Amino acid sequence: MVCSAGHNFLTPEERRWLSEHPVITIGPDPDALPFEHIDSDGLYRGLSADYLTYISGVLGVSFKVVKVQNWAELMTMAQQQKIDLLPAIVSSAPRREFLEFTSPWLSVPGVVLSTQPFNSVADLADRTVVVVAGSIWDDYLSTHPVDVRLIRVEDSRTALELTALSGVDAMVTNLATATEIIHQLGISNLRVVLRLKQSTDISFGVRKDWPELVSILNKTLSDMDPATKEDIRQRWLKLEDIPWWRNPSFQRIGLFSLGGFILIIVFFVIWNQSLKRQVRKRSEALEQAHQRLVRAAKMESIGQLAAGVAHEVKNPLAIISMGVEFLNSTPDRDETEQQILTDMDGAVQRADRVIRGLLDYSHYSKLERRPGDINEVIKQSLHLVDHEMKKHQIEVCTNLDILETACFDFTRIQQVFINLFINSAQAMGEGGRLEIVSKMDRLSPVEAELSQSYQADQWVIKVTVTDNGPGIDDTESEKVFDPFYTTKEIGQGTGLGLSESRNIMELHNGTLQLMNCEPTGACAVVILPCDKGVEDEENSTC
Amino acid sequence: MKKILLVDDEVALTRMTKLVLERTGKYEVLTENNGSKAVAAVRKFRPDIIFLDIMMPEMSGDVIAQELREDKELADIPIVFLTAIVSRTETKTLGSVIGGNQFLAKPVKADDMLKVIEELT
Repeated sequence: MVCSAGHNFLTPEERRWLSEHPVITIGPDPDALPFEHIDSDGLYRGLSADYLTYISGVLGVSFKVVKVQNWAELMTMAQQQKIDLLPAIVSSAPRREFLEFTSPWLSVPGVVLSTQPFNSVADLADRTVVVVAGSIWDDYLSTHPVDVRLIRVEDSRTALELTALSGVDAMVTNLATATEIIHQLGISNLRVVLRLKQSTDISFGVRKDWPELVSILNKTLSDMDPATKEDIRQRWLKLEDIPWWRNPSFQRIGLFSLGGFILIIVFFVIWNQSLKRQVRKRSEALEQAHQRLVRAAKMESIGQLAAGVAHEVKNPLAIISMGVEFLNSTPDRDETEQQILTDMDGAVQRADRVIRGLLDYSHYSKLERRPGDINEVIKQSLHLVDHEMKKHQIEVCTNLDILETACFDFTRIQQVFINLFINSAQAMGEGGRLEIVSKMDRLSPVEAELSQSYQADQWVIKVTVTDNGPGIDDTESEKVFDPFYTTKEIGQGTGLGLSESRNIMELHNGTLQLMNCEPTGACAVVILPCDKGVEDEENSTC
Repeated sequence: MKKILLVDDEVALTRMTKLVLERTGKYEVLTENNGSKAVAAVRKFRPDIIFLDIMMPEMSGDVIAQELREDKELADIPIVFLTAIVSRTETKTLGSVIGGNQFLAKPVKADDMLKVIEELT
């Protein structure tokens, strides 16, 4: 250390004393950062070292470092007056027996560090608390009214490690030491659980027989520029509580809160999605119901129109028909006249068929549902169209599984199948293969969307009518169910068959779908619910 | 010779039908185009069978049939309804709905009329 002359705030006696004691032995704590320590190069460093460097410069004295192993050794040597000055020490009654203390040159709060929560010092009763042996905190807790189980260790590092590993319940030290070592060791699970009223007031401890030095040091410290003090403090002190984000309780609470928040978010997302699904389903149901209403209203109008047209057209048809009959009964007609009469009769019959078809389409007669076997309807329908199939050399194959009994209007459902069989036969022309498959099946989620009355996984009767004709034009796939839509030759059909068939299925809470099949041809899929408990409006026997 | 009463508001139809039926030489046919006069015509003519149109402006066929049923002297005369409002699926059920003996759907075939006449008279 470089020394220079003393300051002029000292008395002559004090200056003389200094000149008589040019070298003062000091005993820094080897491991007490940030206050002081002996670093790896054997150099004395820390807050007190910087203070003494300043003091040395002011007073012109030298400080000689006495190296010890630990604090306890330091205290022993101080008692033996083998050390003149302890640069960083807290005054206490036992120490005042062999040391004189200057005014504190630093004040640092005392803290309790732990991995557990303690609300007050009283909570430490019967808990294991570690302190550095012989430290102020050893004195503090030894005399404290709260009866703790005191564990003493050699140094602060050991104490902190013990506490972090939960070898003890808590550690008492000063905040500066705690912060320094926690930073050094990277300990993340300790937090300041209590701030003590007792603070660490760091003073110079001077051998008791050198009161002059105490006075000199006090005067020097008082004269010290505050900016210089602040510089020294800034250089060494990181007085911070454990960062809030490293606080274990905060982390625990934070984690729970985050988890809870995420759960709430997830709940709301799921709930929202569920609501959206419900809204979508209800909107679709509403739309379907609306469409049914519109359709029903239209049908009622059509029904009335059909009845009016039927009456106004059928009478003239009747007149023509009767006239043809009359002329047919007259003798001596030539071939041409006979042909004319035949054509007239054919035209009347065709017109009559159209009117009847229109009446059928528009007529919402009540269903007469009875329990029955759909396979029987299929067989009877095939019997009725047998002549047509043979005429066009169409191979008919059936694969009819055992079906549940269903409630349906036999005549109406027969009408549906006859329509489908005739349509397929006419699509295939000459030759071809018509396949009819009936089975019990569960509705897929996609199929369940076809009708409001369906539920996914519901058991239904499914009949598939497949032909190997040309199939349906993609652009026409929905139009085929429009009334009067037909691709047949004039006079070959009214175009009401599929439209009427779909209506019949809807009256039975079933569906009729038409689609192209691989490799070629069209498939008609008839789905009928198995609803044995459904009551007809009037005279159902189901 | 059996007597047939045709009641229909369609004049040309009743005229044509009368010609066809009388041409057979078996029947005497009276036509009435005003429904409200039909019951009186039945009382006066006493036909063996009545062909009765349903939809007529002055009085509908089912009302006429009801009046005839209530008259003990006329109740046994067979009535065949003629109707234009018949769909394919209704053909078999309409007679029972209206409560008449039989019905025929327009346009009626002469053969069907002759067959019914022979069945009921």
